[in-house]
Amino acid sequence: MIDGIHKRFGANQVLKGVGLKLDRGELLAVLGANGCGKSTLLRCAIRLLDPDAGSSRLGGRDLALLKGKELRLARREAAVVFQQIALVKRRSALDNVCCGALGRIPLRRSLTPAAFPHEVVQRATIALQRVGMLDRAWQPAQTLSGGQAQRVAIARAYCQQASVILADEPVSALDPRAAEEVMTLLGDLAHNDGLGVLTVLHQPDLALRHADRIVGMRVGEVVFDKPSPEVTPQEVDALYQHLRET
Amino acid sequence: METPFAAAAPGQAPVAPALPAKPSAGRRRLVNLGLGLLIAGLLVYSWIDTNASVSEFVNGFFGSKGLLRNVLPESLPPEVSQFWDGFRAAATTLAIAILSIAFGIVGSLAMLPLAARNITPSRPLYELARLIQAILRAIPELIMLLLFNVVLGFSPFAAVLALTVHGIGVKGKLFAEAVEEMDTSAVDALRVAGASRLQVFLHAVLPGVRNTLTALTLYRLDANFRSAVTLGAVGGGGIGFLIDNQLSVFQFKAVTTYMIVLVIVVLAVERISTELRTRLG
Repeated sequence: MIDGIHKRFGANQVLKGVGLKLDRGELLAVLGANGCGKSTLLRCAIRLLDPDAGSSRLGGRDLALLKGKELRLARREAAVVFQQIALVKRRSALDNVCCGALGRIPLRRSLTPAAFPHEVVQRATIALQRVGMLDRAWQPAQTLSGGQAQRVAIARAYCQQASVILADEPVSALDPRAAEEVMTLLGDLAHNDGLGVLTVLHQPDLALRHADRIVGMRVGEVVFDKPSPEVTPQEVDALYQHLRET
Repeated sequence: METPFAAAAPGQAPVAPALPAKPSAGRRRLVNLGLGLLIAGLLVYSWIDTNASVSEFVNGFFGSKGLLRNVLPESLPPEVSQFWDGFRAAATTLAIAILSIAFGIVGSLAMLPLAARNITPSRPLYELARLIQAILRAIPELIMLLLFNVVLGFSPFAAVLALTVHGIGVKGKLFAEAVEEMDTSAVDALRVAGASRLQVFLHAVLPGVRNTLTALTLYRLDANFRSAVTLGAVGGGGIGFLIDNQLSVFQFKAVTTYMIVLVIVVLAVERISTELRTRLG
C-alpha cells in the first residue's frame, strides 16, 4: 500500500502525493503518458528511490522507516520485473532464476551458482516450468529472445517467493504476441498463485484486457482508480491528451 | 498539416526556406587562438627545458661516433650463442609481468566494491578508494622499484611488487569505470530480491563485467611486460637487466641478440593478448 508519495527531481515535482492499494490476487495496471511518474512511483514503492514524503507498506511494514539489513529483508516481499531485461547475460536461465532466492540463502551457500542449495534449484526448476521455459534452463540468458528473457525474469520473481510483483513496463520491448504471453503469465500469477501484481504499462488495450483494476496517472497525480470494465476510452484518452496538444 | 519536407506544387522546384541566423563564431575563434598559443608556449618551454638541439640529434644519429656509423657496425651480426640466455631472461620478465598482473587483479577486485560509484556503500569510502588508486597510479613503477630495492634488495620479486602496486592503481580505476558503465538493471533486480552487497557483487556485478575485465587485464599484460623490461635495467632482473649489463661493457652484438628476442616475445605477447581479446568480443 502506497500513501501520499511525493518525489521531486530538482525543480521537477514528479509525484504529488500519490497513493494506491494493491490486494493479493489482483493484477493492477498503472497507465499514463511518459514522464507522468509511473516508474518513479514503482521505484519509490520499494525504495530503490527514496521518496521525499509518504509511506510504502509492504507485508505490514513501512519501508520508509527501515534501513540497512531490515530494509533489505523487508524488500524481499516484492519482486521487480524491469523494462530492460534485467538478467545476467552470461549466466544460464536456471542460474538467473536461482538468484531470485539470494535474499533467503546464507552467504556461504551462495558464493557460486554451484553452491546454491538443492531446494533453491528445485524451486527455480518449478518456476521455469511455470513460465514455460524449462527446456531452456541451461541456455545463457544472452541467447534468449526478448519474450523468453522476460519470462525468465518473471520466473526469477516467482522464485523469490515474494507476495507482490512490481513490473515496470514489462512488455514495452516485446512484440505483440510475446507481450500477450507475458501479460497472461502475470495474470496467472495474480489469479492462480494469489500474488499482488502491479504493472506499469504503455498499452491501454493490454491493460483493459488483462488487468482487474486500472490506475490512471497524469502529471504526478492519480486521476482515476477503478475496475477495468468501468474505465472508459475517454478517460484513457485524457491521460495522453497533453501529448497530442504539444 | 505542415511538414518539414512540404512538397512543392506540381511542376515547380521546391524553394529552400531561409536558415536561422548562424551563431557568432567570435568566441569560439578566441578560444581556439588561446589554445593554439598555449600549446605553442608549452612546446617552446619543453624544447628549452630539455636542451633539445637539432645538431645533437644529427650528430647522435649520423656523426662519426653516432648510432649509424659507430654503434650499428659494432652491433652486427648478432651473437647467436646468446639467444638461449636471452629467451631464459625474457621468460623471467614474462613471469614478472604475469605474477604482477595476478596480484594486481586480486588487489583491484578487492577495492572494486568501494571504488565504483554505482555500487559503493558510501560516498566517503568511494572517494577514499579512488584517492588511494590515484596515489598508486601517480608514483611511477620505476620509483616503486627503487623503493622496493631498498627494502628487498635487487630481485625480480621487487619488480613484481612494484608493478603490482602501480597496477592496482591503474587496473583499479579501469575496473571501477567498467562497473560504472555497466547496465545496472540486474543489480537492481537482485537488490530488490534481498541479496546482500556481496551476493549482488558476486552474482550480478562480476558476471556482468567479466568480459570487460578480462579484456582490460589482457591489455595490461603486454603493457606490464614492456614495463618489466624497463624495470629489469634497474635491478628487476630478466632481459632488461641483461641488456643493461651488456651495454655497460659495450657488448653490442649480444645486445642486438637480446633486442631481437625482446621484439619476438613482445610481438608474441601482443598477438596472443589481441587474439584473446577479439575472441572475448
